[in-house]
Amino acid sequence: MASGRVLVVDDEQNLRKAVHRTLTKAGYDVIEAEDGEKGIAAVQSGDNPLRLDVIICDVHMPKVGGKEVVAYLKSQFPSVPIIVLTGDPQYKDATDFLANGASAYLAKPFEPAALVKTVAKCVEKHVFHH
Amino acid sequence: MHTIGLPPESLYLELVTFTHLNPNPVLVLDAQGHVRYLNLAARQMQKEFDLADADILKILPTNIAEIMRQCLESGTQARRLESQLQNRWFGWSAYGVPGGQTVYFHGADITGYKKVEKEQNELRLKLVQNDKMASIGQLAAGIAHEINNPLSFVVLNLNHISNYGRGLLNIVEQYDKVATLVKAGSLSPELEAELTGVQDTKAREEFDEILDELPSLLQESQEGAERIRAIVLNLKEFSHTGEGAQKHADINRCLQSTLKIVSYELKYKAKVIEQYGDIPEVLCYPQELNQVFMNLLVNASHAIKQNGEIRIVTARRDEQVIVEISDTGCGIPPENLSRIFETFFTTKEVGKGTGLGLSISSEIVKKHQGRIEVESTVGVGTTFRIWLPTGQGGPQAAGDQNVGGHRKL
Repeated sequence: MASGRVLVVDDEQNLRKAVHRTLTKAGYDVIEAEDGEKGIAAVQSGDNPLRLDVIICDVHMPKVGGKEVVAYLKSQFPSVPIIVLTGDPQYKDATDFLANGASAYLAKPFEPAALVKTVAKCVEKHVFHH
Repeated sequence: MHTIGLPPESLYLELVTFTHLNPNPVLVLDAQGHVRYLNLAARQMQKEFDLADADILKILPTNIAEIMRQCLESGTQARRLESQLQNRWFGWSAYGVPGGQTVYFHGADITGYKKVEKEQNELRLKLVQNDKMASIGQLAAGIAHEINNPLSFVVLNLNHISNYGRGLLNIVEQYDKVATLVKAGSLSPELEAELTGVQDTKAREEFDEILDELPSLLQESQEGAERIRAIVLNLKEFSHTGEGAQKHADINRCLQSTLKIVSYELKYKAKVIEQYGDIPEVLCYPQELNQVFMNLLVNASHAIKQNGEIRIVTARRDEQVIVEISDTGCGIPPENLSRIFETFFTTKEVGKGTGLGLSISSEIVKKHQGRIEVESTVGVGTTFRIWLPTGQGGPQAAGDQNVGGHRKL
């Protein structure tokens, strides 16, 4: 039984794969997608479409800006915590994203342990509220 | 001489008096450089700088021979000549009548102007330097994201490679054991050949070296990636994007909003106590100060294993605001206390601390004309105290003189 289901949205394939690998090894069930829409579609068309514990979303994707993606994901899965990955964290970025619905942020590059710990905390929060 | 148009004789006494009593030094030299006349101020200078009569020309610029020649030949009026005596600077004008036999020198003390000029030059240099650093910073900020993106999967992958490497080596070790067992029994020629082949391959691929070096190769690569991360962060320190003017900020509010950001990191480890005093607004770059507060709060949480306490206190003293962030964490040993603000100094293990946070924080505080202090006792806890001038100027208002109790842990 997986520790939780995670959706990873990132247009950079190498990073998506690396995050997928790390979380799978940590016992999570991971769904990957290169953008928000494909991500939501992947979750909803899979088995157990309502089960989603955490969303990890890169916020510097060229096609759609970070805020829009977070807002979109929030609209589809309002109660699911969102972890944003940012390559250039300014203090202002953090306040912006957290104000717009993200639950946590990870600044790239991050250690695998930090990724797993943040996911665990968010899953715990999500499960607790349900 | 009468063709020059001198004033009437009736004024001669006044003019002589004017020259003689002029607070600026006047010297009259003949074409050979002998002194024909010194006014009182010039004599005063001679006395002041303890010059013998023969040395009086030392108060003049060093190249007067050339100046005099020009004055006498073409009637040039030389201005802005300078001489320096001890710590004082003098500016001179020189003029003569063409074809005449006399050169007149008139000077003024420009020490004050020189000082301002020096300060301006230094300021100009500093501005150029700042501009350069800001450009570097902006460049770094622009490419930080570009660098951090690939760096992020390098970091994750190195971690996996490390684990995979260990796994592969374990497998080889086990196969080695199998080989040993097999060799102990009877071997078919093919098996014998294969086993020998494996030994050859191991030698050819330098297996022992792989065993020996793989862990350190990975460790060093991971350190390298961490240093890249730290350098990019450090370069961005100089970025001035979006930073024009300072703002008047309520430090209590800054602390509260910073707390909100880091609370997810703090709340599992420590109880946070907020004691906000009645403080005036501070003229500052609030984003930078928030960076400092975030750094101190995160450090505090790292110092605590669990069930600790982090206390935030603000207070006013005269025209300064004091911010104290204390923790009941492991404390800092005295031999490290003097080094914690050094760039790249860290006691955290590789990959955990960059040693940059406090050095950048201290730079930011200095930039605000403030200061940052630390008190710590090993096993008890640490307090960081930041003093920030309000930058308001003006008369000192009566305010809360109490810091909230000196907390020496």
